[in-house]
Parts: sequence; structure tokens; C-alpha cells
Amino acid sequence: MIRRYSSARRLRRLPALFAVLLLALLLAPTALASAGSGPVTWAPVDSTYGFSETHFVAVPLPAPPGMGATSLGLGAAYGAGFWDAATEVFAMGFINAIPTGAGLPAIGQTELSTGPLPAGTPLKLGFRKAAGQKVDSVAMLGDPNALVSIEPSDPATLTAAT
Amino acid sequence: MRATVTDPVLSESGNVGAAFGLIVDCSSLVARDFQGSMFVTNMHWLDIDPPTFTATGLAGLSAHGSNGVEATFDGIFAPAFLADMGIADPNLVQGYVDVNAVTGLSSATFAVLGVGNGSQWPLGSWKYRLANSAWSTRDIMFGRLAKPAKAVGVSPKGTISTTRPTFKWKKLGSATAYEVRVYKGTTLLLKKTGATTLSWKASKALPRKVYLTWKVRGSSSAGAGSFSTALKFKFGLSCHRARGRSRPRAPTARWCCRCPRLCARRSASALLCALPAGGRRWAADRRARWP
Repeated sequence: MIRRYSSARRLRRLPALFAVLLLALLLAPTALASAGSGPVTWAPVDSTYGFSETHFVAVPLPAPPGMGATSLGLGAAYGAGFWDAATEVFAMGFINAIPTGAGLPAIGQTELSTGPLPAGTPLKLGFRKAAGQKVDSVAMLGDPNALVSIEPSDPATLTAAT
Repeated sequence: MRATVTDPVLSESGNVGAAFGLIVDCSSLVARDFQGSMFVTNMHWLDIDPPTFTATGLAGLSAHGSNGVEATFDGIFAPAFLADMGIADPNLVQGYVDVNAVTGLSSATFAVLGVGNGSQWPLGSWKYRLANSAWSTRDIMFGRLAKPAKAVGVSPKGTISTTRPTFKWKKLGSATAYEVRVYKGTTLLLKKTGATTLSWKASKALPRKVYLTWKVRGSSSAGAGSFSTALKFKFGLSCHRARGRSRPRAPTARWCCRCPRLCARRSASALLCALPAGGRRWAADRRARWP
């Protein structure tokens, strides 16, 4: 027996398809948020840049948690992190455009020389992690001849910190 | 965390005028637990990763540079971590590109920058700088690579059925090459250096009917480790086992001469075995004594 669908019957299925599409759109921000909600996140409001220690601002929802910017105006530099649960590695960097999704940016997006974070800008960055989460190491692209430090520096205190 | 935006060098992903990024490794792998150590580089953060190679006594990262472009890497370590790596004197830390000591490389340099006073890096921590310009993907490591531990031979041992055995041994964590030696008593019969796999087939036939010994040792850029305990072996499977028979049928002269061990037991010379009459006599005697 061969079943044939009429055009009308196909049309009756359209609302169902729209419902599925709408549900997917509603869930998309949640999916993006979960990509940046790993054990380590950047805390923009607890971070500063420049010699005058200007505070970064958090980018409001629907941006993923842990995303900040030098300002919410034009020409801002954005900071975003990406937690890879498989390797337990957190990668974070500053970019010159609003991130379009979770994951690493293209190198052109990391150009900071024409924005508010040119070479030589000191940074004081705060991060959040789960208490007990151990930090094995931090590798950074930064000026090797300027001050570099992690606080707390004691590994046991760092592990216990949030 | 405190750091400063910098102008990175050209690396695998490309180049920009200013950038800042970091990689925080929270891996639960014991081998990557560098106890909050810091690495600072002028290579773009998109081109640095946790190390792909781990060895006791070394800590570092993996980098994807642009060949011919020098990039610097600073390693900053607390004294307690250096002690856990087995380094009593922080001045003795070395730099390594992959597992090769920088002292043996023309494309890399290494310097001990000293202990921190808090103005540039944390008070009491030691800072080291490695610069490298020969690139593909490299593990940039700091520490003191120990000589490989005592090697462990696996086979051959006991009675074997070939005169060109394949020597096998266990992997050593820090070894980059292995050396195999085969002896007859104290006389060195065979020597293989630079083996990079965990086995090696004898390059020529070894003598029959005598016990031989063999041993292996691993080596790294820190030097050669200790030889394994010597394993004793001897060629000497009986003919019927070598030929897959549970009991020999009437032997021919050819069969008999392929069985030097049995010929020797019967005090028969090779010439006697080669004679059909001798072979027949041997066969009759053998059948009578066969259990």
C-alpha cells in the first residue's frame, strides 16, 4: 500500500515545523552559555586595564557568561573565554569584535593595536573557578619583560580559591 | 593575574600588532600538574597549547611557531615545584626543545634569569628564558631531564627457535633511543645503537648450541641509563617441534641433518647423519627409545 500526502496535509505539518524551529532558537542562547560556563570563567567587572586601572564591563545577555569589553560603545575590545571540557583547558583572549560563537577566534579578530588595548597596556584580570579546581599551569601571550603574576601564588591556596 | 599586552612574533596562525591571551590548564593528568607554574611567551596565544610530551623532571608547553622566527618562552616556577621535579639547585635547570637539550642546538638559547623579588615575577620564584627559531610544532620544556631508568628486557630468553631473534624491551619514559648488546660469554657478538622502537631483529645469525646473553639500555640527551639485567637464551628447539610433529616419522638424511641438536645427542657426526644407512640406524634406535 502506497500512502500519498496531499498538499493540504503537507501544509498542516508546517506549524509543527515552526514550533521545532522556535524551540531551537530559544535554546540557542542556553547552548552558547553552557560553552562558556566551565570551571574557569573570566570576571570582567573584577578586571582592569591601563595604568589608570579602568574596569572592564560585562557584556549583557544574550552574550555568554564571562564575556566583557572595555566599553559597550564603538571601538571596544572584547574579552571572551572558551572552556574545553574534554581537555580541561580554558583559553581566553581579547578580540576586536563581538564573538560570534563559542570557540577560538580567527587571528585577524585578535588584533588589538588600533583599539583601547595596544601593546604595553597593563592588565589586571580576575577569574572565577570552582573551589578545589586545580590550576596546573597558565601559559600566556604577554610582555615577558613586564610584571607577570598569579594571585594567590601558593598552589594550595590557588586550588582552594574560587 | 597581572600581565601586559604585547606585540607577538609571527607564528603558525599569522601575526598581529598587539594581542593578549592565555591558556589555563586544569587537566587532571598528574604529568601536567605543574603546580600553578607560569609560562610567558611572545608567540600568539592561538598557537600555544598544553604540552604533548610529558616526562618526569620537565614542565612546559607546546608551541606552533613559524620557522626562522625567534620566539621567547619564559618559565616561572616556585622552588617547591622545582624540588618536586627533583631539582635541588634551581641554577641547574636546563631548557629543552622536544627532548633535546638546548645546549646541543644551534637554533635555541637558554638563560637562567634568577629568583624573583616581586617586581617582575613572584617573589621567590625562579625564571628561565628559552628562545627558539627552528619551528614546526615543538614542546618547549624546562627542568632537568634525568638519565633513563634501568631498562627491562622482555625477550628472547630461554630456548628459542631461530638464530636471528627479535629482541624486545619495555618502554622507558625519558628514553629517546635504545642500545642492544648480545654476548657470548664476555665476547660482544652484536651491538645495535640508536634503536628508536621497542624491538630489534638480530642483524645476523647467532651461534647455535651455546648460551648467549643480551641486554638493553635507554638513552636521552641527559645520557645513557643503566643496562637491563642480562637475559640468557639459546637456539635449540628439537626437530619434531620445529617441524610441528608430535613424533618424527622415518627420518631422512635431510631431516636428520636439520637436527644438529639430536645428532649431537646421539654422538653422530654430520657425515654419519648424511648417510642413508646411518640415518636408518639412527631412526631404528630412536623409535626404540621413543617414549
